[in-house]
Amino acid sequence: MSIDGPFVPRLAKKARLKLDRHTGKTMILYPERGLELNDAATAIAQKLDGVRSIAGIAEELAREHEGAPREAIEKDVVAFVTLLQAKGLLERP
Amino acid sequence: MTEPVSEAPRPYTLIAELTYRCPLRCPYCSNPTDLAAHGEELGSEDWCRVFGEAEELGVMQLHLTGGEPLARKDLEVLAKHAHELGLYTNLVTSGVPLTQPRLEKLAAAGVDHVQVSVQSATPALADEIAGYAGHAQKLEVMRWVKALGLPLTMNVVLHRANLGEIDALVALAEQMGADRLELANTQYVSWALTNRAQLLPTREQIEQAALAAAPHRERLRGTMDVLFVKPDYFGTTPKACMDGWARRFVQVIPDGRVVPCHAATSITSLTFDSVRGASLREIWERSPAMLAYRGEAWMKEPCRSCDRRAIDFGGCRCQAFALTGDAANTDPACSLSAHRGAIDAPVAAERPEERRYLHRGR
Repeated sequence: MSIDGPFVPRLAKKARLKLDRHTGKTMILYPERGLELNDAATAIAQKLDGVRSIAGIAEELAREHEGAPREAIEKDVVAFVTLLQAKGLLERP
Repeated sequence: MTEPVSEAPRPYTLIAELTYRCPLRCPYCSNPTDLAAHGEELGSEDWCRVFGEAEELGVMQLHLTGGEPLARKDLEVLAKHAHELGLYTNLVTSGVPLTQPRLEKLAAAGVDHVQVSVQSATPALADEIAGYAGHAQKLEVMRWVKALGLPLTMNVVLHRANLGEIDALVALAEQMGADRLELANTQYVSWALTNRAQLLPTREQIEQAALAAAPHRERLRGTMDVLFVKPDYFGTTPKACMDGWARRFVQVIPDGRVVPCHAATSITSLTFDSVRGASLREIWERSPAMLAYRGEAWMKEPCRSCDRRAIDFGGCRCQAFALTGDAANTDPACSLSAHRGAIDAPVAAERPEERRYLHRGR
């Protein structure tokens, strides 16, 4: 599978997004581990619902942050989704 | 209780050893060897309070373990409370005293992930190691876990009798649909130290097993997480045991005492405080046993001036105590330890031909 614009990612069932009330940061919790996300990654992670494509997510984020370059955002989304895939945090297709 | 340290580290994981009772009798069990000397188990209310206090301290991951946690009739109550606190709840089980309806209840209560131990890919050997005919049941349990859509870890403790089975163990984990496979070489404390001559592999076995695991790790990346945990006896640097003493992990044992790791009560020079008499925060921040080896102030040479002191924290305190008599000594798994001979001698020794384990008691 190639992770690019048309790809529709879904966060794995084992992964749970949780606000860490001690730091105010969002974490992805999964078996025995946790991954702390920055604000940009949090905004992406919340959209990994198995419905929206990477291109669609980038489009939405560009709209939400007016003036942000859509292409640069899509690159960020691809990079983050690739990282999640390597960690086994995407639902298997 | 002494004065609090200004900034105690934040624990992320609570290891709740709910009971030492277990139907299995594995010869490498991490439970204490003096099981009979331990006090009564905490009740449900105390455990629920401890979970809340742990969440207050910053804990996000909870391990419900033992012994066999399913031996507790209140496990569903505890899992539900943990879920309500937002803790990511890992059930660490042998799978043996489990039924499908009970697993469904636990899933409904909020268990997030199930880890099932497997002793070998060969049923007869698995049952021999466990001292109990439970292998077939474990396979059933793993199927139930996946059927419920829960993430599954298959955990295997590796030693001389099963190190040659890496390919078969990976195949079994794939067949079960495991999300994670932990291939963890035995750590020689507690029962494993008692059975060390029986369990300790040869260097060739370790090297071959590591070579066998590597391609599976690559092949399954993104599908199944394959962890191969190397044993410290065959290296030159010690393990960063528990990521440092009382740093990221806090553990409560069945009778309510707070410890930094499974084997810590083997360090008889320390006294561990109980949550029956104080809050988890008080103990975590102030109890002498938590402070004893936290940070670097306790270190002697060669740890004190070592470049790796913030990487491996001087290794395992329990191993230092068991093999050198002083828990503040450098872990003898370090090549710089004056006691390295305590590791090298059993590695160099002839291995007994006949398999004869001293199984843990019930």
